[in-house]
Amino acid sequence: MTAHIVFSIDLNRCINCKTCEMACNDHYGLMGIHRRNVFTYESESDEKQRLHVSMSCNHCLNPVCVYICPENNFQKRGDGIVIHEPSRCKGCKLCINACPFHAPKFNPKTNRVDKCNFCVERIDQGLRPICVENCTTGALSIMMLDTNEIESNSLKSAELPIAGYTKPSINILKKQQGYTFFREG
Amino acid sequence: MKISRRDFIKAGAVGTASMGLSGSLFSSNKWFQPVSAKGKSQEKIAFTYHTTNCGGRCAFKCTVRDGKLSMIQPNTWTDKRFSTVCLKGLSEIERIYSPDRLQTPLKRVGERGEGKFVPISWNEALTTIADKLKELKRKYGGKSILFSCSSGIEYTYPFLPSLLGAQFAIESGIDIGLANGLEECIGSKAYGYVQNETSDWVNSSTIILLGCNILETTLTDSKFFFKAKDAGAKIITIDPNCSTTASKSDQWIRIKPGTDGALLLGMISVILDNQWYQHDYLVKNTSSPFLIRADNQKLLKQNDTHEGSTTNPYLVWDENSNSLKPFNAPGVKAKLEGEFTVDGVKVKTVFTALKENQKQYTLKWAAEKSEIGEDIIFELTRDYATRGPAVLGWGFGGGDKWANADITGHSGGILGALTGNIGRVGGGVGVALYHGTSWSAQLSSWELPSQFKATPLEMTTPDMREKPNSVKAVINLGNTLQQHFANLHKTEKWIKQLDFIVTIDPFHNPSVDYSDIVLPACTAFESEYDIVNMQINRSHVLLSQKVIEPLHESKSDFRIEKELAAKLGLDQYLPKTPEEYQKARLNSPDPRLKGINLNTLKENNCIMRLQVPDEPYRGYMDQIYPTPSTKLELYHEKLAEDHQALPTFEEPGEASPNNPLFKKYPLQFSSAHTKYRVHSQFTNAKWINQYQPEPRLEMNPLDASSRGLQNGDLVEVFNDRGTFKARCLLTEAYRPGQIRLHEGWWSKHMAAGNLQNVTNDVLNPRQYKLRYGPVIPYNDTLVEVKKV
Ligand code: SF4
Ligand code: SF4
Ligand code: SF4
Repeated sequence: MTAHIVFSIDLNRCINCKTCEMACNDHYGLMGIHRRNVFTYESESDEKQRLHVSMSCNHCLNPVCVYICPENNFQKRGDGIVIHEPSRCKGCKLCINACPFHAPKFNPKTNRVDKCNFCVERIDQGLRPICVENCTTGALSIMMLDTNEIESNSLKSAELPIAGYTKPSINILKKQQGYTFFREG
Repeated sequence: MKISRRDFIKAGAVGTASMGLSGSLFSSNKWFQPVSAKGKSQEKIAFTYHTTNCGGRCAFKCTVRDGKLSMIQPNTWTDKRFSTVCLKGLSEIERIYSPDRLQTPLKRVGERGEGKFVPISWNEALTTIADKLKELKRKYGGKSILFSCSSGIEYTYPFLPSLLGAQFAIESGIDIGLANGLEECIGSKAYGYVQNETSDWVNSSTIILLGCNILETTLTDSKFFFKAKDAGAKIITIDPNCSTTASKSDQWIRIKPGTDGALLLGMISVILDNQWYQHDYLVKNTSSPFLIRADNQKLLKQNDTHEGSTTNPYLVWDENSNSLKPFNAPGVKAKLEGEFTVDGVKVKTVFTALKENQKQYTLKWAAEKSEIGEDIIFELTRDYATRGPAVLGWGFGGGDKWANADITGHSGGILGALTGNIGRVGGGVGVALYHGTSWSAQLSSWELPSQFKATPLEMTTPDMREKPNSVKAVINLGNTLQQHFANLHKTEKWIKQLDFIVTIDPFHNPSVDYSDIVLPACTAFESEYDIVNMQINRSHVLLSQKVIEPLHESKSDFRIEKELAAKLGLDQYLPKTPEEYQKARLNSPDPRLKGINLNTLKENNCIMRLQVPDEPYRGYMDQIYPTPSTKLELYHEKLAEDHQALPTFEEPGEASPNNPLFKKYPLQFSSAHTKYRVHSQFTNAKWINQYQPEPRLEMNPLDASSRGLQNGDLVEVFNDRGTFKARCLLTEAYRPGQIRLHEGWWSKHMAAGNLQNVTNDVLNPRQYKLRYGPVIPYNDTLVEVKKV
């Protein structure tokens, strides 16, 4: 039994302000590509409710990027973080196509792939990733999650429409339904 | 980006699609380098804060690399809950280098409004302005000059209006609609902000947010919203639309726009009918037991030849002696209800009159007006009145910008009084945005010799467009010509006949085009001086330092004011540097500022908490109010002839089905705040425009289909005042009958026109009597929409 560090996303809180996306770009001096993106989708139970989820690389338990890269540029650390080391990247884009989330992106400025590395330098200094640090609502956080739980973690139950076969290591806090009262005016 | 339920989310798909712009996201890509590149560069850290008046006041730790601002991170506040930044703050690393920056002083060569300019030197620009102002002052007096200031300007030219004897206006008729009614009860003059700090919400059992989209407009306060929710508060948002805040609340109640007052009046009736009011609180702390004379609707006082409540106190009926007594006499037990005859004059208590006045506002009536179910209003009222401490918080964009806003505010004050929620831990009534209430302190001011005095504002600025007045020149600081007036065509007529217009701003905003001379100001990140500014906000003193040198030929507002004063021969009266100015302001005997000076500030990341208790600020806990009677005043004598001494519902000025115009223009038009911009600021920010690249007219699919509109169609919005064009966005979250465009879009971003072409500028005559004057009813606007 081991615990991995994962992003946790609270659907009750995210307001789609994009601060997390921008904090990452600001910190890493990225332009033109975003490592993190906030998506909006309609809740199945109430179409007036739009849910927002902030996603970057999911640091999967079954990371296809690691398996597919011919240069072995990806590595899964003991704490679960999947790192991409761009210095030897040839830009073959195999990982971009293999990853069901297209988390690795092609950086036209460097002609190499670029991906969220969970701010490992910060993690190693005991700091939180910059996106989490800057999230305005507390929707985005990090937590330690048992790998067995990641294994069985059914993202479907959170109504989050994402592929599951890479075993994305994220934790989703499901939206609690509120009461709404309206007339069609 | 909307994802249908059947799709799987793919980060990359969106990432690259919306990012097709790639390199164009930056005005210059030479300086913006990844962190790894920093080893080779000259790097420094400087502290400043965001002055854009979004309602936040985020403090920034700025990394400057080779003279360029290249990273913004939240600075650390003493109270760490405030250490935050939003996307707008982060985007400044692009925006301040925007091609929309004014680079040099400009002189108009085309017609006003046409936007044709030639660059001129600072010397020529300042000489032209100074000569013109001197001439106007000589011919017509200083009152012929109006300084019109946008809310996002931090340094508001504090000295020039006085030196010239000019008039100064900041937001006449804006954000004061509800405050007009509420503060008549409380006696304050604080833009109607709630009495308690938002951080006190953890002590509330019920929080009602009425047209208050706090999670977008004050997103830095979202942590207090969620803290309160976690602590068990029931958060109920009342809004025509499923706003961001509504979607995160425990309950969302959809209300018909313009009927907030009707809902609150209905709630008052429910409280009275069920005796959920706080009898003792009303007797002790409010004017409820005061007596209204039947003959003249005035309150009964002891001695009408005297002024003031010591020599001429209000009278109440004392239960102990069964006689009239001054309300403030020792040992008085005032009767809350009753009718009496005094020297042949019939009188009744304010509370009795309120009960009578409320008879017309039954639950059924309120339900019909507001289009909220009776049972829902009943439950809402029970939650408000019986669950313990409760907040009734509203915003500046909901019920505020309507001709009947004062009545809504007055009703809110009465609700707070009935339930004892004013001056109570976990209570509060008023504007719940902007963290507007917190601990503060009295700074000193920089005194000018007594001969220099500004002219008090002659009238509310919207009236200057129509009523005779002295103004011949406008010095526009920011973008007030677009933002601070409704009905732009009328504003344009006024502007065109003025003698002289100057705009001072960092950006080429829409007001610039009307100006004769334009001066490029620095953004808050740039200055010629090491210390730039200072303010008290959120219980802390914040100091701003120079981050980078002035860009292009811009100058800081401080320097511009100083140089203009020099041209007028008056700069000897001004502080020499911002540092000298801030030192003088901090030189204050206020104990809350003890130990806080420029040196200690610099040692503490430029942020220090005031010497104040370590708990949320709460106002009026002593139940002493700045009203003439020192009580909460529920009855407003001076409005008796308007039948508003007690709140009496009035239909909206324009946007009401009872208005004959409604047949021609059946849609209500609302212009609202968004988290992506601050009024008209950030309209040109490329980073932000990734998410909202163009204005969209939001409407319900029902309203669209009856007009044959499809999502994304280009539509024209029009009424008798004017027209504008934009693409439409159909959304179920939007209430049928109401359409919306986010405010502030510059004309050049619109498909055609400006949203202010259609907004309602008819002021309510009654409100001239109120403390802020009439509100501009921007949202009390009817329009029709058609496909282009
Ligand atoms: S999200 Fe994609 S890139 Fe990230 S670990 Fe999983 S497979 Fe690899
Ligand atoms: S910063 Fe937080 S609230 Fe804002 S979009 Fe990102 S996760 Fe959501
Ligand atoms: S715009 Fe954003 S960063 Fe700036 S003060 Fe407001 S919340 Fe803070």
